[in-house]
Amino acid sequence: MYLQVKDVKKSYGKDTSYIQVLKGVSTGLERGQMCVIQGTSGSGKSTLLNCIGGLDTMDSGSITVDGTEIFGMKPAQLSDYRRDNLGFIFQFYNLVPNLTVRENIQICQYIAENPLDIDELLETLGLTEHQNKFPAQLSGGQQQRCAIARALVKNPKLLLCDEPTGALDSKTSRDILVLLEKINEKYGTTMLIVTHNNSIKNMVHKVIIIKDGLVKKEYENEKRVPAAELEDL
Amino acid sequence: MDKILSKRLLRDLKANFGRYLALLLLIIMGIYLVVSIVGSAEMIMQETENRKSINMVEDGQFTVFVPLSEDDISELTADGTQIESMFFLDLKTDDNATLRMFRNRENINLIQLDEGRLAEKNGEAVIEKGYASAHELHVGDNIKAGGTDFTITGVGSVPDYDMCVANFSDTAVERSSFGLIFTTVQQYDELKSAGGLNAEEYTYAYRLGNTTNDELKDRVRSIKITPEQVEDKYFRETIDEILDERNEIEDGVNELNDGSKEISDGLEELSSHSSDLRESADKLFEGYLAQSNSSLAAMGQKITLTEENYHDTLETIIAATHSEQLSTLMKSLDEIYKFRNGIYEYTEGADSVSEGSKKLADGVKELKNKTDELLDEIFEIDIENLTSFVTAEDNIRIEGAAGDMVMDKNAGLIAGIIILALFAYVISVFVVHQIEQEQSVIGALYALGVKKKNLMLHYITMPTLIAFIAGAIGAGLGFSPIGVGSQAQDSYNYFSLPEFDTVYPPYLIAYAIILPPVICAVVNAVVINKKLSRTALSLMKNEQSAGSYKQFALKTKSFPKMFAIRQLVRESRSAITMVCGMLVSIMVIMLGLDCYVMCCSVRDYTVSDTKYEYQYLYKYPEKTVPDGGEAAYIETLSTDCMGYTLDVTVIGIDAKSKYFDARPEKGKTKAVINSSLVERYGYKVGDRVVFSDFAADADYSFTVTDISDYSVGFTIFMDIGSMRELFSQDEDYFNTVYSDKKLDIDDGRLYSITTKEDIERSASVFVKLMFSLVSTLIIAGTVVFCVVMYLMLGVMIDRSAMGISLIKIFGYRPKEIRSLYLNGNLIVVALGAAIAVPLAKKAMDLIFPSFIPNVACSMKLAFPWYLYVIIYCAVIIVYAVINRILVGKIKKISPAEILKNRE
Repeated sequence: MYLQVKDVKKSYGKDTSYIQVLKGVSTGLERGQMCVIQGTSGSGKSTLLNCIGGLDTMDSGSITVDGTEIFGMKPAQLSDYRRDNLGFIFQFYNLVPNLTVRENIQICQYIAENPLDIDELLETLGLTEHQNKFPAQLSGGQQQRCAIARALVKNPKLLLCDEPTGALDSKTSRDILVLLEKINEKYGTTMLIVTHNNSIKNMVHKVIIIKDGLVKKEYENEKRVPAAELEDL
Repeated sequence: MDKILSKRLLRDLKANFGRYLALLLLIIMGIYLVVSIVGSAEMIMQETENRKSINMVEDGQFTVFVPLSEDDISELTADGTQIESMFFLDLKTDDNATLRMFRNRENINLIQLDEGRLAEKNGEAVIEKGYASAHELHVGDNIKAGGTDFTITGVGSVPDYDMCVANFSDTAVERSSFGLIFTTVQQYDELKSAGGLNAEEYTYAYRLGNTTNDELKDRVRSIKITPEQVEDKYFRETIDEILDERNEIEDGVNELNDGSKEISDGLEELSSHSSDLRESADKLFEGYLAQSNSSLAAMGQKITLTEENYHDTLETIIAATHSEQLSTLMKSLDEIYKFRNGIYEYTEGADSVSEGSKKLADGVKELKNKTDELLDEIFEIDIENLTSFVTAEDNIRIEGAAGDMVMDKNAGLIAGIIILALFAYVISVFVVHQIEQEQSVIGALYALGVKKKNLMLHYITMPTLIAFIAGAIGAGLGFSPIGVGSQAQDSYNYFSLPEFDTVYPPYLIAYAIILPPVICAVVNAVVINKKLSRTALSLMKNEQSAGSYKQFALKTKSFPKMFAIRQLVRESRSAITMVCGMLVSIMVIMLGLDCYVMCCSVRDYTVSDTKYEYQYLYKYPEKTVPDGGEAAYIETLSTDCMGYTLDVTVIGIDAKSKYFDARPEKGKTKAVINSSLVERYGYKVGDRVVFSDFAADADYSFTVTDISDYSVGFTIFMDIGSMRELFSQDEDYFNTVYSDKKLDIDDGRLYSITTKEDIERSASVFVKLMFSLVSTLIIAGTVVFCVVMYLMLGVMIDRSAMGISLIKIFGYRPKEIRSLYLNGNLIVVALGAAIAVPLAKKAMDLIFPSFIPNVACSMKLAFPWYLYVIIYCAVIIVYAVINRILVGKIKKISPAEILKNRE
């Protein structure tokens, strides 16, 4: 397995404010798979994503990515792990407001060992004409495309997407999903997508449903619906 | 809603505790700095002023040769003027210190006791507090002075010896070697009559009634005494010298008078014998004629020879007779006739000379009388009793501490203005930043129907409260013993002052307690009002204006370099904010450093420019310059500096002066001015400068021929000959002698002896006196700088925090983060410091002269290069430490937390 999650537990707070968000999650993902994690609000899906992304530490359990154990890594090691393996796409884009589209992408290009060509990426994502604009000058879809470009420029092995269409309208959401699908096909990027959107599960290889901090159900789609044909986005 | 919103206040305080604490600290330090400096200056100045009526401070004092008579005093006090004798005797102690003994004061310059009571009987004395402190003397202790034992009954001070120096010419207070004691009248008189002490000084203090200082002075001057009444031997010597000159002239005229009279008498006597002589001559001639007639008759010639015909008659007969006898007769008669006529001529001449000499004698007599009158007029025998007249304004012993406080007050007020500007600036940056961070909350609340007024009140409350509390704490600390008390300590340690009560000037209270919250409220109101002019939706979406970011092309291909430059340019507003904050806070430090540098320069340059070892200032100049001495002529004129009258010393020197480098040209209007005057007034060669002699109501104009690198006070140099001519002195006059070794000059002839050691000591006093001010300014300024740096850097790093966290998520390493974001801040600080440090220095140098308008001294404020380097390095170090603290905070936040907060 490319991504192996075993009995991951994570809690927050102490005493009366103590809450265990992940109660022993175990799952896995093959290289090149697109996977959706679904669940209700507070189910622990984003926490799991953050633990996989090395953005948050887990209390116990194990996460291995391409054979590398994350648990117990020091901050500097986690930083290198993210640098070498991961790409992030967030619901609210998290672009740096005082950097242009190109510069936001350059941020990740700079630290990549084998970065993709930035102009090609801009072209692919339809951002060429907007490359010198600041985030505040872009629409939501354009901003998310910029965020995707930023995540992809490193040519990451694992792309973690937290509600990538959560702040977008239906049409733009579809465009973004089509784009992700294309990238998965073109670069073979393994993708883990956290979403509320029920339609997205149809386009991915694997679906994991989390409830109350545990994997309630996980399955692989035998027949995937192309992103362009998804309904009710 | 207000109630609910108010619940956020404490949470907001907790969340932004570091920032609020920094703001609190900034205001506390700023207010403390200003209140302590200005408060202590105000306390000393106001309390000194108050003491004038409480302690009945003199309006002036005068010293006389001979004590005033009852009649003199009655005449002088007729207009309500109060006069009290302040006679004193200088007593030596066993350790060779001088204790100046006064009688207990009755009406003027009253003793203010810090402890104990006044002397009530023999053997008791009140001791001046400075001396008591230096010798650790207390009430009940015993001291021996002038061979007499005294029990100390009280420790206190008097307002006429605020600066407790023995002579007006003394430059520094020496607490351990000079002090005052006050005894009963009886004790004083007993010691005086016992003898063996130095001469008593007859000084009177006065408080003016319905008159002026000048009128009183004229009236004291009109009191005359005879030279015989004067006991001072050098004064007597001077009088005698003057009288010798008179006697010499008088003797000469008398001699002339006597001589002419003698001549006149002699000639008169000679003239009185003229008629006898003439008669005898007549008789001789007539006898000879009669004898000739007898001889002729005997010869048969019947002729009678007379005076008129004898020559012609005898000539005719001789021609006819060829008589040898008659020829001889005629010759004899001619000789006798000539003799008689000669006698006539001689006697007439003698009469005439006699008459002339009589007239000469009369004339000389008249000359003598007139000369006597003239000599009486020129060499007035009656002399003025007055030896010195010093008004309180001109008395360095009075209000010395208050005068010294002018610089403190001015420096404090300037620091106050800077700090106020800094408050407004920092608060505005703080508020703008906070409101920007909160704008989505503001938008949401606004959208939910919360009124603008309520929002404004909500956001204004905490910073305003903080500002008010900080102002009150700062004021409390400022007015406390660690503020005003410690600031005033240097003055207490140097001057002889009673323990003053702290004063609370309303303007200072308003400045400390009212202004910070008002500024805070106003700045908040303006910022929030501006924010609330936007729509609620725009605020909620946290929309940013793209127009605020500028796009520009860069040639560099290096991403970190390009990124850092763009980041720097895009954050230029924050950078400018940061640099401005640095500039203003560095100005406070510069103010302290300028004070310190100036004091040190005054000390160092005064010492290095003083090339002589001894300066003897004459009270009664000698005729010849003592061996080993260099004569000079000193006069004091005045100039104005921002309403203060400052002394300008005019020194007349020889062309080859050994002790001064100035080489003044000959000429009554030509002068070399010293560098202190140039530094204060910007004079240059060729300028005409005018200085005044207020006592003589005269102005003296000089053309500046050169500038001398001489820093002691305000000084101008003249050619000594030209100066003597200008001030109408004798050709060989001098009143000062400089020397590199001790000269044998009688003390009584001198006003003062100033050694280089004295000058070094007095020059160092400035540094000592300014220590509190300088240290407070530098320490408080440094704290203020650190706090401002913390707040400003906090704002800059906050603005980058999101970016930093984000790139951290992407896997950036600390070194890379620094190169992209934090190195830019370092560049801002490094460049900012490179601009702010010299700019702050320049600004302070420009306004610095206004701090010390009452001191005639050099204004060398130049820093050694290494001081700039130290300040610069200190700024960078402060940055590094604060940056580490702030970045460390960011590091501690987990990336997930940042994302959560962001979303």
